[in-house]
Amino acid sequence: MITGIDLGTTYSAIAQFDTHGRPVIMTDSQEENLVPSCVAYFDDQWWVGREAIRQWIAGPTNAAARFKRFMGTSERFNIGGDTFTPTQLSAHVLRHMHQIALNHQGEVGTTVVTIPANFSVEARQETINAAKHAGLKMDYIINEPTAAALYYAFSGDLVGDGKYAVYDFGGGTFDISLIELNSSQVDVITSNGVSRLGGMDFDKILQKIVRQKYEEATQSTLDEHELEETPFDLVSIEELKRSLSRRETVTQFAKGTVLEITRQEFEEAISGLVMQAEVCCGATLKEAKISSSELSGVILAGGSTRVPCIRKSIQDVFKDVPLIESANVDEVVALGAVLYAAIRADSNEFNAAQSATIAPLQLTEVTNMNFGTIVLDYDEIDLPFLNNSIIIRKGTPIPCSQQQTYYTRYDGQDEVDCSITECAREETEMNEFIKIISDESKLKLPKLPKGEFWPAHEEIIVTFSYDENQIMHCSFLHENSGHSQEVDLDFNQVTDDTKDYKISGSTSQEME
Amino acid sequence: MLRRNIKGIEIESASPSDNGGMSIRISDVSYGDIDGKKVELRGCIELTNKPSDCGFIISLFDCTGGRLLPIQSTSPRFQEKGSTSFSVSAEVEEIDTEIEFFDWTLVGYINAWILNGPFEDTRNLMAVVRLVDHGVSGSLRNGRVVPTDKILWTGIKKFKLDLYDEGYIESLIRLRRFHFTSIGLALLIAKSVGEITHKATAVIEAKILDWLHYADSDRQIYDGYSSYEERSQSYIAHFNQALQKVKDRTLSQSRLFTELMQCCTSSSAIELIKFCFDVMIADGIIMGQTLELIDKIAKAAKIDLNKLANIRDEKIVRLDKVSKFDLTAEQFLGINSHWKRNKKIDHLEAEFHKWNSRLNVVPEGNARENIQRLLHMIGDALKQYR
Ligand SMILES: Nc1ncnc2c1ncn2[C@@H]1O[C@H](COP(=O)(O)OP(=O)(O)O)[C@@H](O)[C@H]1O
Repeated sequence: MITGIDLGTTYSAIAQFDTHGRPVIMTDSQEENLVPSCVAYFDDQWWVGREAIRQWIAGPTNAAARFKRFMGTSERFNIGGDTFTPTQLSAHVLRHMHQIALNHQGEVGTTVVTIPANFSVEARQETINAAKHAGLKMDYIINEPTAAALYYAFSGDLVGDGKYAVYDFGGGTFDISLIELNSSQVDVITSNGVSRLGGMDFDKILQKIVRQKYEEATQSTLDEHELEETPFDLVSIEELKRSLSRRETVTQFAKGTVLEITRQEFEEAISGLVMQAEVCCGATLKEAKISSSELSGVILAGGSTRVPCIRKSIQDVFKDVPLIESANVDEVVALGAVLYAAIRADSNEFNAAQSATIAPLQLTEVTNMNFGTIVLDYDEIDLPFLNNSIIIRKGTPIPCSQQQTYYTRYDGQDEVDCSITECAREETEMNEFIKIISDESKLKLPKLPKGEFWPAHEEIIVTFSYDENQIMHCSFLHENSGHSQEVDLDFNQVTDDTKDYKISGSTSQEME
Repeated sequence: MLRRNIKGIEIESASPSDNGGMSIRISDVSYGDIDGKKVELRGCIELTNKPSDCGFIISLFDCTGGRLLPIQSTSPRFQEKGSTSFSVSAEVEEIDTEIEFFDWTLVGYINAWILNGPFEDTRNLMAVVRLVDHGVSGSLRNGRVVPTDKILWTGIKKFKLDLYDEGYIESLIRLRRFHFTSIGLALLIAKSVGEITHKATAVIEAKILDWLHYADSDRQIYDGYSSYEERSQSYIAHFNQALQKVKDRTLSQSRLFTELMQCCTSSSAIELIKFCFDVMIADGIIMGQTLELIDKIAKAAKIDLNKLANIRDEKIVRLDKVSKFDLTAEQFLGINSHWKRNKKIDHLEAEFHKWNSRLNVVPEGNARENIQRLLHMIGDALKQYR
């Protein structure tokens, strides 16, 4: 059976593609749609979800939550005296989700797991590793906002063809994507995001407010340990945050003291963070050269979109563009993921209803990085500098293939460095913000008879081709001799030691 | 004063009047990419025994002041194997105990565009043409051949040539001025946070060592110092003097700026700005006045604003975790308080977008933390304008 998993920071969800051709959430053993992304160890066994959260509230030493944000970093979590990587913990969650699917369907087929559009390379790879650890056969990855868009395209909730923004504000990350809908075809235009911005940051700020109020009222100071107790612990705080989305003022009892927390003071305290999301949206519109008036709607995803000041902020950025949301904003990502799995799965196994759903659905993603190569260039005053010459621009529809011609520099030059770079912003002059993905390959020009040498300005044609399976094939060709150096980058595989993409290179030579 | 110290090169005995039976002709040539001279030979060289393999090599010297100073080449194809000194060679095809050219025969071009002599100007140059047994090219250094037993014949010819680029001796002298000016400016940066700290002077000292180390290489023998010791003593003395002056508040900022404008090239400007930032971040305190001073230095050094921003950004992410930001986001991001509200917002937004895009590209750790700190700073700053 086909499944889609939204591995969320705070909540995870899993959906199946049912026999009526509809994406539906699979509930857990307690008939809940959302599973808290929380892991605990007690009574000699691992727990995930609600049981784990309860443990987390009772004593976080045996449990861990909110680890997704730290995927691919050196951050470690302590459970019962042992340390765990975010990847190991995510694997527990994925295993649990997998079990839910098995309970519902007996077997699991093509599986898609979602990641934030703005996830770092390492975080993306660690998600893949987590799935491996979980014994899950994960076939594809899809960006969360894209999955949400796909679901809305299917659901018919959109007002018609046109451009839409997908505004995804979850527990750990914020993503914004611009898409174009054409019948049921979703073309992603561009995606951006703020990696460390989500509901969990609001929780931390709210915790500070509550703490301050309590300390002021009681003229005492809370120690770190007391912050793990009700009502200062993050679970109670999250509950309080949800209440503030419904009410202007919430009364909280804290160890016999009555505290009044107002929505206004909470929203004032998080306004700097909300501003970050706002700026990110503005920049994304600018980058895509789209004005908000051209948008047909703003699609909402993620639980944090329920915070009233976020709504206001969305209206500030997108003006009068209508907001489109389903009642279950925290489920649309999983629902979209399973649709994507269905698109990619073998359609021969579908019944008529399923085929009818899938037939019109189409999706094109775009590259979310700029890819280039390092070349020597000269500035206005003829000073040489290393230039990051971009070959595939961010936002290019996948699959794509782009070509650029460069020239050798001096007479007798017999080799060319075949470097490949990556950057999210168009950085031209080489700097630390350009990641060099590969720089070990060299294109060797063939040897000439003694006394002869290749003159300067030999044409070198560089072609980067990015395919649907996230593999980029790079070729550096010496036009005159047919000699080429090929480098393949697999964005789904990062080697563990260097945290870099898996790279394979080869040389080829055209025979005369 | 300095030039007197510079030693010339000695070459094996040969006098311009006596090239044996072979004459050298040097004449103007200008076509295509070449603008300079061609070197031709006519006559005969008699050899004692028949070499297996031989060829002509041309080396060039500036002999204007009487000393022979090597001419450098900017093109790798026209350099000696082990140095950047100019050299061009031609194979002799049919070898016998006698090499004879009945007519003027071309042995090489001297392209003025690729030459770099000790001084810019119209100079007296000397071409040294050698017939050498093969295998000698490796022992050719700065126009000199050691040992000399593989040299089969040497002929020399003087001529005049216009050298277009700043000479290497001139640039070494300017480089020293630039180093001394940089030391003064770096000390002013160090002082701008209050007292000069040990950490800041350590960065300056390390930079001086760097310069001295680099200067110890081959080409630097022409900078007027007779030894590494002499050079380093002079640098250290200058550093101590400047340090005292900064402490006494007698080091003139404006004089340093004037000096800087005279001796700074665009690549040295970049080095200087990087150096200034290194001194600033050594202290772990980022203050508005320090950044303002760096801005002024950048202006005097005529550094491109984008380049300045690039350097600043690279340095910022390397800040230590414990660094204190004793300034507002506006100061930090170079926002002028006179700007209109909208311009400030635009700038802050652009900075946010820039740093946010970079967040996932930089390695985990300090760099990411610093960028995160900046993003929060910008978000908070923007609040007040909305
Ligand atoms: N009513 C609400 N008011 C405020 N925040 C909410 C509300 N409902 C959910 N959230 C927040 O939304 C976040 C979870 O959203 P979700 O879309 O599930 O994200 P993720 O998949 O990253 O966990 C949490 O931070 C949660 O506190």
